[in-house]
Amino acid sequence: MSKTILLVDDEPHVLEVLRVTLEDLGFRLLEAQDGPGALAMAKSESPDLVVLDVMLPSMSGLEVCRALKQSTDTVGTPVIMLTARSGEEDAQAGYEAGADRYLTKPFSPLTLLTEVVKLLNMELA
Amino acid sequence: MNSALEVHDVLQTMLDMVLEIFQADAGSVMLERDGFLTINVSRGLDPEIVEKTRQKLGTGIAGWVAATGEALHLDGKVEDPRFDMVVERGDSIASSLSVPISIEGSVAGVLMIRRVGERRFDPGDLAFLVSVGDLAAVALQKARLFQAERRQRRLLELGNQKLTATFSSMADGVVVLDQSHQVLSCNVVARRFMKPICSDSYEQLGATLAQMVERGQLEFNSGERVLKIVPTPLVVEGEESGSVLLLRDETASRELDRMKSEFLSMISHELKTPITTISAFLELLLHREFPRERLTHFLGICADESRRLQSLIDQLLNLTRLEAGRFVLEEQDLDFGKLVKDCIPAFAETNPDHEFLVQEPFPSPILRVDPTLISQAVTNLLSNAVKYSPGGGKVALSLKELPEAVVLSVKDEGVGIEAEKLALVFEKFFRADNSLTRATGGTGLGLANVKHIALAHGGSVWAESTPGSGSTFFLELPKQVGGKP
Repeated sequence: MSKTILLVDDEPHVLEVLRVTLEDLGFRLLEAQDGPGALAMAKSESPDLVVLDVMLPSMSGLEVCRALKQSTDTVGTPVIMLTARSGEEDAQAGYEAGADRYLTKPFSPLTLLTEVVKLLNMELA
Repeated sequence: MNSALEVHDVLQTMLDMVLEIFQADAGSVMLERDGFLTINVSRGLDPEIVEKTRQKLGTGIAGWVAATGEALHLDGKVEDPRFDMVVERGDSIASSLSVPISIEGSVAGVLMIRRVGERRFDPGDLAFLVSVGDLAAVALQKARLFQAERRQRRLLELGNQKLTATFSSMADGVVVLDQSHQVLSCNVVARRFMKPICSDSYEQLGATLAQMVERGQLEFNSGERVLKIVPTPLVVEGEESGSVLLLRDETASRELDRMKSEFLSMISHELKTPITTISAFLELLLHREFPRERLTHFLGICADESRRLQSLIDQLLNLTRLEAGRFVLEEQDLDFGKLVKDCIPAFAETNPDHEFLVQEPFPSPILRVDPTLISQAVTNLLSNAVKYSPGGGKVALSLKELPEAVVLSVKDEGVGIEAEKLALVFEKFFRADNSLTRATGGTGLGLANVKHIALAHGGSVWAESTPGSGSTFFLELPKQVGGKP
């Protein structure tokens, strides 16, 4: 059964490049452009992994991450934070919010793909 | 007693007593200053003579007495060759006594009394007057010391007053502590700064500050402001006897630091976003094959993002140049009303949730402005209105023509700004929303740019706001635009 990945970013072009990065591995790709949208989709679609931006409109990615990790439905769902905030204390805040990986923008699609595969316990073809 | 100690009064009282005791008709006390004797007090002398007498030491009778320190008894006409200059007098002197007034071995003045008519002084009178002269010297010395002391005290008081005034009108707080941390003095500013922590207790104030200095905690938050302590030892006569603590209000500079670092983080985010898209697509294109039409599409996105990067950098550079005042306005006479209206369609297209209203009458004043800069200012005002009303709503533009100026206002129905932040909105780095969320997505440059563009045209900007129901931003431009001279 194909894995579902939720991509969250308010920049359409970033969402597009994420989609292209992950498109050939048979994932079901979902998208959200803000925090409340992401949480709603996580609840209804139960994704296997979330790629999450931090600076989002109305609700920060850190808050979204905390909410995901506090909900029994999504507590086990791996979260990769993908953000332009590159300070060490930012990464710290990300891990404290429950992120499984913290990647900074600009990111390498290959690195992201590797992390996704690792977190989903898949073999890279 | 105090007033009697004034030199003049002391001598006058003494002279009057001497005249009475010695049954003399006239007398004077001359005092020496800079090698001359002048009459300090007198009785029975012609005021004109009193005024004009200025006897060099060594000349005349008084001069001789002062120079030699010897007492002198003279009867009848004076023809003594010792006195090489005798003041001519209209009156006749029957008998006179002159004695020195000596303080610590040197002559400070001369006491002189005389009788008119036939009555002459006895030889014994001279010896008696010499003793009186010695007493006068003691009184004079005391009076002088007293006077000097009083002058000193007055100077000290004056100095103190100046110091107190300086102390209380300083911008910094000053607290002086002794070694047991008791407050020796404390200015108004320091009391105000420390009030949230120590209310009005001096004891607590001294203890609190002393403890902070001991711990090396030289910066603290009083609840109302960020304060910095600058301690200096209080040295009295070479001995350390406490400390002087300067309390500096660092609130504004901390706020500026905070805004700067926020701006840096904001601007780095804004710069990284387009680079993220471009670099990720380039990596994908390097490692994977895509059909022609997808390739074109991706490259188109990269081109868009490059332009975005370019415009962001332009805005940054613009602001830097405007701030530094290194800017040549390329001015033209043009219809300001039309220029404003021309900026609207682009916004209406990309922001369907917002309704852009032009309130009639919208005049068409001809102004001499730099069209590129003014368009940028108007665009930034519109973009600000849109950003701070994320839920949509009306954005109303109105233009008022005043005798000397025109005022453009842009009113939104957005989140509004709290009064205390309103003054800061035109500062670079300022963003009303400083959370991680990007509801507003601003760079913190837009309104700062508007301000500098207005200033460059001799105009101004300001804002009004009601939190929760929206803000109005005003741009005023003078009609006789001189711009910068």
